[in-house]
Amino acid sequence: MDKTKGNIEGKLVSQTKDTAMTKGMALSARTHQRRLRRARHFRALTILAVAMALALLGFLLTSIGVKSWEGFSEAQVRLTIPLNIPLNIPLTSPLAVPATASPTTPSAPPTTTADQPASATATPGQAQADPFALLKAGWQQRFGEANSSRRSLQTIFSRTAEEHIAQAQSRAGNQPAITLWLPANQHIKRYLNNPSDPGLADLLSPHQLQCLAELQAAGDLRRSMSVDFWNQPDARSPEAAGIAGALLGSLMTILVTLAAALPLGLMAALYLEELAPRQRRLTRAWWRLVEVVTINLAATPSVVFGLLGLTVFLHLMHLPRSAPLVGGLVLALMALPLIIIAARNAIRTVPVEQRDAALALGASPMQVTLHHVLPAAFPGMITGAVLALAHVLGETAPLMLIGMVAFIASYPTSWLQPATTLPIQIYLWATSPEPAFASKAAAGVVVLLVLVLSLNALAQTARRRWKHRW
Amino acid sequence: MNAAAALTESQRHRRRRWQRRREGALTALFALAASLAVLVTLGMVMTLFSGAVGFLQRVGLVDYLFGLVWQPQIGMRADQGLVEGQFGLLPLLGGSLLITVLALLLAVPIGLGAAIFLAEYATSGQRNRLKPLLELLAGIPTVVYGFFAALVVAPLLHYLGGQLGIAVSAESALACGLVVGVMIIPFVASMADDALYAVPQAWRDAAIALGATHAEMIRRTVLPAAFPGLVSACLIGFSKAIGQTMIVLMAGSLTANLTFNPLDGVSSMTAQIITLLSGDQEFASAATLSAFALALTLLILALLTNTVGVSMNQRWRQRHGQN
Repeated sequence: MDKTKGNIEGKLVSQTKDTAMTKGMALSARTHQRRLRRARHFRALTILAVAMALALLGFLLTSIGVKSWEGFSEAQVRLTIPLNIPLNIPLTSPLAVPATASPTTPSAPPTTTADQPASATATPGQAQADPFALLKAGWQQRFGEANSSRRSLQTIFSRTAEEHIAQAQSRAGNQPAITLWLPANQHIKRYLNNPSDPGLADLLSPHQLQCLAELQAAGDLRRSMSVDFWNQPDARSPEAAGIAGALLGSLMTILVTLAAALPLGLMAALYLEELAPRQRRLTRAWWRLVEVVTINLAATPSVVFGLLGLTVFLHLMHLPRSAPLVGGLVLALMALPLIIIAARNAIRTVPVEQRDAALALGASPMQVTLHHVLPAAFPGMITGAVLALAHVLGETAPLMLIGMVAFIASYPTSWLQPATTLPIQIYLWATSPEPAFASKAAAGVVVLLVLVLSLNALAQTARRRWKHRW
Repeated sequence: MNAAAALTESQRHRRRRWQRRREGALTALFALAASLAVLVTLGMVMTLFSGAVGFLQRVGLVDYLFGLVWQPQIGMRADQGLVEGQFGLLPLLGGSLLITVLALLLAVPIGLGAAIFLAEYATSGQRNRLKPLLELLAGIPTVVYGFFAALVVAPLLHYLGGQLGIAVSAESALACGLVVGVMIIPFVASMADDALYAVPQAWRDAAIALGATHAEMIRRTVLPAAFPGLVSACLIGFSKAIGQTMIVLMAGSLTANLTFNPLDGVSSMTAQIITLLSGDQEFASAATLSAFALALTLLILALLTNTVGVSMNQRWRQRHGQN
């Protein structure tokens, strides 16, 4: 609309150019147009800023999303596993490594022979045959005896393949054989990406490559979503590493935080807003100090909380390192000021008339607080608490200082046992020298983002839905 | 008749006393919970001070504050003797500040621009859609930004530099700074938006009535009026940027370099605290104690900027007669 006005003035001026009076008008019309142009440019700049912010967010999310696909997926090999054939195949000793298997394979451990001797005596049709012997039998049925030692099978299959076979075995009943998609080693994923990858020659023998080509031709080699990622703890080899251990650790840690910080935070907020005596100058100064201190705690860098936890919980109280209990307490210290501030804001929205009415009916201050203010402010308080928990759920640095950076390949079973949490698992994977872990880290990032952002979104919608207009 | 009337005087008294006692105990419990924040702060200050004092007794305040080399390594074996490293703050402070300045260079224009759009130009529909998106961005954990910096941005800059023939370190301060900038955009934007939103509508109407264009109204009336609020938004952004850890830890270099070249690798105070303390270490060594001195320095810097920012914002709001 402004633009059209300018044009009309411009036309008017050009018609009566020669009189002295219109000279000033022409000038003002030109300035006016310049001003309007500047106004348009200014608006365009602000739109550009929004667009850049959105583009950066988009770039962040897409780059992580693209990388995470590799982490969620795995290569799988379809193999028919005989369940009640006589195991008359002579089993090679696990130490007799055939020349074809590469000793440089990172996933080949020096000794994992715990269940090996049992399979040598396995009798035909035995229900609980050793899963590895079954895997071996399946492989030998298909490809003969070459490359069927434990080490060379481990360059083909994931360490978790045996667990899959054991599970299928208990489900199978009396079937003579089962056909399974078994999780494969990460080398196979490289093979699927590019079968003529020159690096593969160092990892797999020519015969193994031939077998893979045969499997691929038969359609028995595929890339699919990894189940192990969801139900395994961390592991040394990327194909066997999963996120379940870290998720459980995060859950335990956050439960400790919730149990410690939520009641304390709500009590503190109620006291500061409703019950704190403010008549005398000294008490007023004290509660003012509490307020300033709370605000500053909320702005304190997270590493400092880690140092506090390290000194107080580990060095003074001698609690164990890396424990979910200690991690949860450190996070509770961080969450406490956030919860207090949010809860106080929620309490302030409760109108004075509510309190006055209750007081007039003879309620004591504590009764007013617990029976009237608390229920009215509760939705807002809980929203704030959920936001605070979502914030500390993604915290990494303070937990690293209390020793939660250790490699832990098992589930935490108690509050005092070493555990790891989701953000730390991501950090460990992202900084691992093995490149295949980077995509695991991206997948972990996606899981963490979904968790944190859905908690955030939940709190925000709850706030909007429960918003009470007094 | 009803039960209350049947109570004798003394029974009622006893009930009252019981209730008063119960409430007194509950109130004391609540007061204790409220004072916990002071206790935590006290513990934090004492922890940091005792560590820092122990450190300064070994190294000396001048060597710490003005030293140009940060090399906290000590002898690995006992027979090498305890070769104490050098603990000069300046390379780390320089690294932290370099990253923070780079971050602000990205975040302040984008954050302020986005805030101006949200507060002055956006329709209520656009505002309702963009604001939650901004809050979403603020909810992303720092380890995610660290991953983004270390595995996406830093290699990208390294590659681009290689294509252009410029030597860009694979752990460049630029990558860290840019990602820290992305991280603080939502904080700057949402605080600046609050400040702009608090400017009275009458002032805008007056400027328009005097013939200002929309942009002139914003530049000559709204921005000066909101200036303290905008500065406090930037200061709080600074405080967030300097206290952030994971991005520099994952994408920055591990050795501290005293440089102002954003293409070189630098380390920061926060990242060094983690590297010094995340192993199993002797508690009383100078390297361990130096982490406490670093944390104290960091805390002072972060809280100082934050307090100035918050108090500026509050004073300005009081002057405008709003909460």
